[in-house]
Amino acid sequence: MAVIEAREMTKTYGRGRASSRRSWGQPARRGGDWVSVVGPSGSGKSTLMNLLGLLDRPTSGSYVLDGRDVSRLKGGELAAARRDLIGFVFQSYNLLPRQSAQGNVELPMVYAGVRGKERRRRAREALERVGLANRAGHNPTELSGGQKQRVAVARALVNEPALLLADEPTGNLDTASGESILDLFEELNAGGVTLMVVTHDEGVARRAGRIVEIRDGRVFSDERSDGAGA
Amino acid sequence: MRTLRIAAMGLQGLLVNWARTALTMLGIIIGVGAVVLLTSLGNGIQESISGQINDLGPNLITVVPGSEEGDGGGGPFGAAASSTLTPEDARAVADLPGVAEVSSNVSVVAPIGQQSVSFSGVDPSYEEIRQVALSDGRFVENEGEVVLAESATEGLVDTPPEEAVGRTLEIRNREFEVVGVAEKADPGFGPPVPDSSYVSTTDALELSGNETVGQIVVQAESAGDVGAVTDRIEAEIARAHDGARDFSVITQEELLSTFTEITDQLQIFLAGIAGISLLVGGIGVMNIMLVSVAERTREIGVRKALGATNTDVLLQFLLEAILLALLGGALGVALGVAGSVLLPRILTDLPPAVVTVEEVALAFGVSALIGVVFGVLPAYRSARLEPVEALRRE
Repeated sequence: MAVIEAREMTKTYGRGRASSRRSWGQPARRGGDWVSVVGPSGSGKSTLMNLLGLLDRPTSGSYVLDGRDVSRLKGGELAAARRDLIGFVFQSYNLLPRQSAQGNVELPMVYAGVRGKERRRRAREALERVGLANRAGHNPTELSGGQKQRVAVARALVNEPALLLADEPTGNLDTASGESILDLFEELNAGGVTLMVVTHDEGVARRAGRIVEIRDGRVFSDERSDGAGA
Repeated sequence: MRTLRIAAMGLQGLLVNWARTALTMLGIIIGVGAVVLLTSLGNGIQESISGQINDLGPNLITVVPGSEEGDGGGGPFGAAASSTLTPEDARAVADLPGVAEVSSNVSVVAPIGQQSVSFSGVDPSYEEIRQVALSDGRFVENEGEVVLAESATEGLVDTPPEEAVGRTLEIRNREFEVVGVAEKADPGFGPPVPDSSYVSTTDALELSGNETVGQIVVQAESAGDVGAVTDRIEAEIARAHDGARDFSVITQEELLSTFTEITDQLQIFLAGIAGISLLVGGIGVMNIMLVSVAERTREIGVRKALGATNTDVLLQFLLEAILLALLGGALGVALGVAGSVLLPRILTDLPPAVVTVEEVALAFGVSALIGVVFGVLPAYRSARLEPVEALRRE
């Protein structure tokens, strides 16, 4: 089943325009796809990610996420869709600075209404999955960039979303830490997590099985990558 | 359960950002504390004044020179200079029905050695009417006798107060016997007690060369009679003065209302100051809330990206604001009440403060309202942003 089906979706800012006016013939499938979104800066890839991640509303068009039409959702339903269907990994981590790694990972579950004991257990498991079980009690200020991004990945995964959206996840990291995050993505992808990674770094893009290129606010090309899974 | 956990995040927010919490609370504490303290002190002053006037006795009637319409010499504190009241007036009043005691009161300043000493020239009944407290001896009963103020004995008869009785004192080449020592008088309010050294009315008139007295104090037989007795006194003195209304008759009630007016104004003034401090405190809270929410817009964006609804965000900020306001308000009340109790003990001239529930509740309520409104309003604005907008803020 397709995770993302976006048709004629546009976003207009003021007088300018960034849009993805093409329907995707081969949408990402649940349980395995890793799609990279590439393009020069200002091409609209972040806008695309914000629209697909329900952080922003499209001006027009339809968007079906994991089989649900989410383009007309409002308020609480929209928040619930973000909570249950999407996990975010940001370039600047966006961890709450005064909460421990454990607390940050628990946060999406608080909003999902997961009870205390199970919440703590699942947060520990998620931290274990990203290799940070021994850093659960640390505050973000006490973690390296790579570790912070791992906490962010654990937080994104903890509600088992249909889609993990990452916006320049290695943008703030040194090469080694960036590589280890990409290795983690590969592991997660192999374990069935659907990934969409926005990047302007070719090396990062080529780790995906499929590369979508955005130019001037439109989908320019969409092709299988030879580096799929490797 | 979910709601409870989200609300708990509000509490957590206060604890982890303790510096911001303390600063915000300080604004509320100062605002509430100042209001409670100032209004309580104001109440205390008002009660103290009414208490002192009542202590003079509800059946005290005072005749002072000058008409009530005010011809320059009038008013409750009119000076004796232009007085037309005489000791004969006092004697005439004494014979009226319903009058228990009457005394003239005339101030005189007499030179003794190098000093100028002021005396009140009064009749023996004055002791009873104005409750003069003696630490030694008895009150002035005859001419040639003097009662000295405790503070005056050292300077005038070279002895401590307890040895002054029996000494003699020369005033304008006349010998006076010291028959008693008056305790340091607390003049309170009402007809002034110019000094707490006394001589007889006759001696005072002779020493001053005047024939008129500064005032006549009258004690009615009962408080219920005061109205009728006042009318009789007015009629009697007017007749003696050939119909001239060159005097005023003042009852305690009138005095009380004059002073209530004054203290009411004082109260309004204090309430104004208190209001301003509440306003300043409120603006402090408002500022810090606005800044802190602006700072936290990104946090709101993150929370929304992770699935928080607008209501969730608001609930968290509302709880933070309520906790802050309640805690700050409670501390402010505690501080205000403690100040109200302690301040009059340190500054002994201040009467004890009177804390009233209404004023405490008002101060608390207003500050809590300010805290909650300005805690929640900006949060509400941020919560309504699209997450992408909120996340873009630094």
